[in-house]
Amino acid sequence: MSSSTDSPTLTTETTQLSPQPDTETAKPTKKITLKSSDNQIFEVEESVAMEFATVKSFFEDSPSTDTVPLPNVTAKPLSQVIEFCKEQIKFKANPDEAQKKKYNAEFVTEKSDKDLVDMIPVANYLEIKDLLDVLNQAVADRIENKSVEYVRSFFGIDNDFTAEEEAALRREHAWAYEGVDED
Amino acid sequence: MTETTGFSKLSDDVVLTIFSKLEDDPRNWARLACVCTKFSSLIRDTCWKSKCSKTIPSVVSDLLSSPGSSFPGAWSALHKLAVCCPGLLHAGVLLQHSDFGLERELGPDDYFHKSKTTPSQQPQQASHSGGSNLDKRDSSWSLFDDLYYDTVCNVLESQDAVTVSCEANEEVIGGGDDKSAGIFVKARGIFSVGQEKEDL
Repeated sequence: MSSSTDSPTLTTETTQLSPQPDTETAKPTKKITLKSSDNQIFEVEESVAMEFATVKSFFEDSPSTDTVPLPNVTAKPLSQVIEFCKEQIKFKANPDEAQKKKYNAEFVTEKSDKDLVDMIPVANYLEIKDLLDVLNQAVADRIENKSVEYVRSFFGIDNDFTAEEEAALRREHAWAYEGVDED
Repeated sequence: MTETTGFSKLSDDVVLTIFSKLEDDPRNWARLACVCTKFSSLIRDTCWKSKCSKTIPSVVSDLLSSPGSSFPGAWSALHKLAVCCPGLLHAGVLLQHSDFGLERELGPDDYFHKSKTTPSQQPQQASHSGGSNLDKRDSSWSLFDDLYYDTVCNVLESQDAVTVSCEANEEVIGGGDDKSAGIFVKARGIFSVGQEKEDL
């Protein structure tokens, strides 16, 4: 978790984001510790942590804490989310829409189905809107034109219909099952 | 790794956001409704409702005059009608009386009923449109064929809509058997000419 800091932008952001005098006088490279539900510790720069709206409001409510427990988030998706946010901050400092788009596209294409699906609740819980948009679109693209069985295994959803119910639903929309892509 | 499916606990709006990105092809939602009971109720009660309200607002307000009066499966049925009945979405026949600017009278539903009762009209059609056009029909599938085919296929499912359209047709046509069949042939002729032009 070593990271260099580009001081000018980070300084302004830090002062802007934290109204409390004690944080304002603190060093711009202040680290914030996030603790995942499986007790892994992540030390991230404050600017990255402030991308997480949930963490940000946590700090606004209780500015004296230095460790934020994230009881709904496991380590793996959290590390991927942090990776994403670090990049986004670079794009914020140095806006380049084309590059950002390219990065976002690569970020999701290289992830497995499971990684994507696991990251969605995390992005939702931490309220990272940009990431959630990217993930939702990526997931939608992956399940488009796929069979019901494929979508179930994609999301890890159990079929909770009875056989009759499912058969009735399929009959109702028989036309929807033509021309489905191969799983 | 069994506690992975935080996804099943995910809030409905996130799931709906994903669904909304799959709105373009109606088959996507229809299949998603089959995945599990949660998806099913989201699609049936929310997605189809908003889609219908957006695309066919007049039909919605006609059928469900008081806002609270929706019955189980109402949106599902209405959406299915909107998708499957070419008159509503594909052709705009029922709602807009559109003929794609070809200035012909539309009579496919009418012809379907007539041809079932009086098969003797078949040869008449052949003589009008000519053998070469019929041959072409096998190789190239025209827009008209498509719409006509849709209508025939879904005629049993969308009885109400078809009845409406037949009534409308009878007003225009005046109920004459030969006349309406002739109109159908004329329509097909126009399309065949169009095809030939394209082929050249």
